[in-house]
Amino acid sequence: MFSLLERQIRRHLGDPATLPAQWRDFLAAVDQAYEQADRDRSMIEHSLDLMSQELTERNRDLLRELSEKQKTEAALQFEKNEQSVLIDKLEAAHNQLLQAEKMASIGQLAAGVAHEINNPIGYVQSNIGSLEDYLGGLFRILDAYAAAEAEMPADQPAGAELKRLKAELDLAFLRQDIPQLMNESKEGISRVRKIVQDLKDFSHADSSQEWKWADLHQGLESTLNVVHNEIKYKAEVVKEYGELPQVECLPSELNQVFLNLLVNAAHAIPDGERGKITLKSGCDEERVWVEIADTGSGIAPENLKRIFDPFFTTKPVGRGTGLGLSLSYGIVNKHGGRIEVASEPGRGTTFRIVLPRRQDHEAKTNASQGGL
Amino acid sequence: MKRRVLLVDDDDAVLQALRRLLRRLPCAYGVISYELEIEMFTAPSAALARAREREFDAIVCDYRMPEMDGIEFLKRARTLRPDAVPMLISGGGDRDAVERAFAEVGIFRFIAKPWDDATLVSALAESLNFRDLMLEQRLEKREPDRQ
Repeated sequence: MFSLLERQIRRHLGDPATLPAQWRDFLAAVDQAYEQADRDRSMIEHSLDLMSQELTERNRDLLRELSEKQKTEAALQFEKNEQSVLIDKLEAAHNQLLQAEKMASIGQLAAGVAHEINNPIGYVQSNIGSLEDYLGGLFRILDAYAAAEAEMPADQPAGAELKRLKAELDLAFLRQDIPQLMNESKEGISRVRKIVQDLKDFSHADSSQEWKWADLHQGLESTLNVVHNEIKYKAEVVKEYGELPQVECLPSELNQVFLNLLVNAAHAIPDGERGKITLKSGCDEERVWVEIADTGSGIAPENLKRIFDPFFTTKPVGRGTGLGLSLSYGIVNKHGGRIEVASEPGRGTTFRIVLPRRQDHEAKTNASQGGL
Repeated sequence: MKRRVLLVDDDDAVLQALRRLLRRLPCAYGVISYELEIEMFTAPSAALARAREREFDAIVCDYRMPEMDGIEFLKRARTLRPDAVPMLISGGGDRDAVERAFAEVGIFRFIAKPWDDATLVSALAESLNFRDLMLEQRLEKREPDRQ
């Protein structure tokens, strides 16, 4: 008998065995109903349990899915960031290439222009020489005429006409001004000639990358001529050159270094201010040095160790590519030299290039053979 | 004896300036002073046609010309007038051209544009003198054959 039913019968009616026989069927039916109800309940409980289990599982799945989704999203975000960094880098490299291409075509253009301009410079310069010669002749003739004029009787009509013309055209002034004009014109053409020569020196078109004995002061001067426009409104250039012997070097490449340092020096001076760029030089038994110091804004200490990194720049977009100093570093390195830098924010920066006086070609050959 | 000089440059202004220059500065090497008779052409082909007609002592030409370059011109001129001394003037920057001119045409002097007046004239005088020496040497070599 169902235990609950038995307990209730015992409490209310006494021992089930003592109950009247006619209740037996009734009790059996109730007992059966109890059992049935109990089975139903436990079945429901069981299914509820199952349902609960399923729900828990489902919940776990959902949570897992969610966290996976979050992970994927984070990964995507990470990838996206990486890509944007990459895109920035690509853009920088692209700009770099454009700049390099631009520099190369400027070099080509300069060489081409130099070639074309050399023709007119040649004949204008030579013609000025001829003209000067002709004028010398004309003045001698004029002198002879003047002497003849003095011999002329005063009442000659031609004499009056000569006097009038001399006054009208101011012969005395012409005699004095023509030599000055010729000298200025010669000076002008030799300046044009020099600029073209500097452009040619500067562009690599002329160089065959040969080690040459060269005067670094000359290189500095021709580079100064090239960047004159970039510098003249921003700074006064002070030269405190010392003694420099000839140095075995790649002159056009060193000019590139001077150019980068000079342009940087000019850029370091804040807009609207006028600074000073000081060039110094000197040597000892083994080495020579050239110093380019500016009174510009200086380099922050945290940037100082990055300035020679390719693409590192603090200049606004379009003004610096971040390659100038790394190129310079490479060039000086190739010479077996070094670039030193000292900077104080707000006070200025000094770059010092130290180069050996002569190259150890044997060591270089050995080194390159060793590398193979 | 007048020395005949053939000048070729596609830029007429250059020719005119050279004409003035050679009239003005004496073409002298040491004590020897050369009197010059100059003919000028802007077209290399016209200059070659003229060289076919008559002898020249020196042939001076520009490197960059539209018809043919200076080296090509001097090579052809040499086949016509092997005794004329060649000289090249160039706008410079073209190292290869200069080396080729020395190697292939046997120029004695090279002048870069823009030229220096005195240097150009003395280079021409030296070239003429060099030619004289070469011709003399050749004559001396022939002498023993005759004996």
